[in-house]
Amino acid sequence: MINKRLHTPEGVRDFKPEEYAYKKGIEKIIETTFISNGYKRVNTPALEFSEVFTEVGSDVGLERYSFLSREGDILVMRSDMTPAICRLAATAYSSEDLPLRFYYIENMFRYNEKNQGKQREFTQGGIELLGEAGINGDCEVLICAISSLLNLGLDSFKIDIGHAEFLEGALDEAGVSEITAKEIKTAIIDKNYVMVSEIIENLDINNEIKEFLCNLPLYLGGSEVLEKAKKIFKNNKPLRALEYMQKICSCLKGCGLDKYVCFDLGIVPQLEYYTGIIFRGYTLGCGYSILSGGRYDKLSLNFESNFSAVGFALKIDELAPLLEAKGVKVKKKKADTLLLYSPEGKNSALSAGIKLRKGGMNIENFYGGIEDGIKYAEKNGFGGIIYFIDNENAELYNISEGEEAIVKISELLGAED
Amino acid sequence: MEYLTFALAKGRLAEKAMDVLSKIGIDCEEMKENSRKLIFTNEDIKCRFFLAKAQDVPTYVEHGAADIGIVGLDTLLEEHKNLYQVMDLGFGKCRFAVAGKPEAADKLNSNNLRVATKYLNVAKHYYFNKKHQTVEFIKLNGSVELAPIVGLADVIVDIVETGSTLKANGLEVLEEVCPLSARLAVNRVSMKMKHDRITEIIKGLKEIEV
Repeated sequence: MINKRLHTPEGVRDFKPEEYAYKKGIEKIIETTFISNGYKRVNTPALEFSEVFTEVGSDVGLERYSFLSREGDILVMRSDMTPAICRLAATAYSSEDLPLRFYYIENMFRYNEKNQGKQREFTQGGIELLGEAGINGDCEVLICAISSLLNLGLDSFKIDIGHAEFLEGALDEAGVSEITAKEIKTAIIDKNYVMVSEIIENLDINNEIKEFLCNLPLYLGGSEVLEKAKKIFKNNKPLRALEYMQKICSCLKGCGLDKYVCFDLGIVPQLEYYTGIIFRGYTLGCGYSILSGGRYDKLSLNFESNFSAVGFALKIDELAPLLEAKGVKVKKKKADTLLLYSPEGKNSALSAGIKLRKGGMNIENFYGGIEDGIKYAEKNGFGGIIYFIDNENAELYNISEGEEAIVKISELLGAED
Repeated sequence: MEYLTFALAKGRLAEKAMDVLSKIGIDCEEMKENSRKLIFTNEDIKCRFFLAKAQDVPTYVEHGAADIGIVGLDTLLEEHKNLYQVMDLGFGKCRFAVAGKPEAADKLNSNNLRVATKYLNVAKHYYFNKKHQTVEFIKLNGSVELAPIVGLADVIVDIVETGSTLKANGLEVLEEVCPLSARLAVNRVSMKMKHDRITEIIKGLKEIEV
C-alpha cells in the first residue's frame, strides 16, 4: 500500500521549474517552426463528448479516459488532437475559409500500458493542414516535420513514409479473401512477419507477390524500393500508391531533404481514418517513434463536412530527454536581479521594483541582510543585486565581476526609461 | 558507426544463437572467455552482446536497449511487447500444450476447469480467444507439473519438448496449443535507423537456413 496523498497516479508527473523550463524551451522552438510555416494556434477543450473520438477509427479505444458527466453524457479526455481540430474546422468554418493551417501544443491523455516508461498524460505539438489535398499539402507537412526536427538540433533521424492504400491494393491484386487480408494486416500491425510468412506460404497466389509479401521488412529504403516494387504490381491501386510516393520522393529530393526519409511498403494504417500517406519519425537513442502523422481526407465526413486534411504530431515528452542528453540548449527566462532593502529603503525599493519590472527586468525580492543576499545570489546564478539603502540611494552589486557602486535611485530609474 | 546490440536469452538458446550467428560472420571471442562481464564487444564488427533472462529480452528490445533479440516464441507470446518479429530461426523447437492426468481429458471443455501455468497471458489467450471458454487460472512460477499431481489444478499450460518429464509423473499432453521456436526480434527504431545492417543479417540467416 502507498500513501496516496504523497504520490501521483501511474503515468502522470510533476515538473520542477528547471525541468519545466527545458520542456517549454523545446516547445518554443517547435512553435516557432510552426508559426514560420504559417500555422496559427488553436485550443480545444481537454474534455470532449466521446462521440467526437469514437466511430472515427481513433486507435485509442480502450486507452481513452472516459467517464459519465452529471448530465449523463459519456465524456472523454482528449487522446488525440486531430478529431477535435476537425470538429472545430467543420463547425466554425465554411469551405470558403479553406485552406486552414492550425497548430497546437497540448496535453493528451491515454491509458498507456503500465510500467513501460510511457506517460499517460503527455504533450504533443503538431499541425493540421485542412483543405489542401494531394501532393502540395503532403509535401508541405513533411517538410515542416523535417524542419521541426532539424530546428530542434536533431540530425540523425528518419521519417518513415508509407501509403494507406498500397498494401490494401497489393492484397487486392494478390486476390486473397477478405478474412485472409485482415489476418495479414493484423499480423503486420503486430509487426509479426513470421506470422505474415506463415499465412502467405499456404496461399495460392502469384509467386512474385508472394515473394514480395514474405519479404516485406526488406522493402524499406529510398526510391529504389519503390522502383523495385513497381515491377511486381500491375493493378492500378498499388501502382498509384507507389507512383504517388515517388512524387513525394522527388519533391523532397528537390529541396535536399530526401536523406531524412525512407519509404516503407509494410505500413498498414492503424487509425482507420488515414487515407493517403502515413509517416513516423525515428531517431537513435529513443526506442519509440518521436513523430507521427498522415493524411485523413475522410475524417471530416464524421463531422458532417467534407475537406481534405493532413498533419503530424511531435511527441515532446520523448524528445525533451533525448535533446537534453544531446546537449541541446534552450533559452531560459529567469529572474536575474535580486532586490534588497534596509528598513529605510523599503518604500522606494518596492515602488522602484514595480517600475523596473515594467521596464522588462526580472527581479526577485530577498528579505534579509546584504551578506545573505550576496550568498543567495551567487548560489542561484543572479547577475546583480540592487540594495536600497534609503529613499534616495541604492547600492548596485555586479556579482560576476565583483563590483559595487552607489547610485541615486532617481538616476537608476531614469536610466531604465 | 553505431554499435549493433544483441540481447540473447540466457542458456542453450544463447549458445545456439551464437553458433548460427558465427556462420554469417558475427561472433565474439570475448564471450567465450569465462569472465564476470555483463556485456561483450567485438570492435571489429561493431557488435555488442549481452545475456539476459529470457523474459527480459523482449523488454530490452522494445525500449531499444538492444537492437536485436534472440528469444523463444513462448517468451514473445507471453510478454507481448511492441517489436518486430522478423524471422523464425528454426532452432529451440518445442510447443505449448495443455497437459494433465489422463482422466482430466473429460473435463477439458468444462467451464470450471482449473488451469495452472507460468504463462498466464498465453493461457488466457488460448482459453478466452481461441476456445472461448471461461476457466480459472492459477499462476505458478516453476515446476508447474506438480499442480495436477497434488490436486492444485486440473491441467497445466506449459512448454513441452519431449514430454519425458510429463510421462515420468503420470501426465500426458491433452491438447496442442501451438508450436514454438527461437525468433529474431528487432526494435522498431533500429529496424529503420540501422536497416542496412539488420537486413544484411536477415538475408544471411535466411540463406544458411536452406
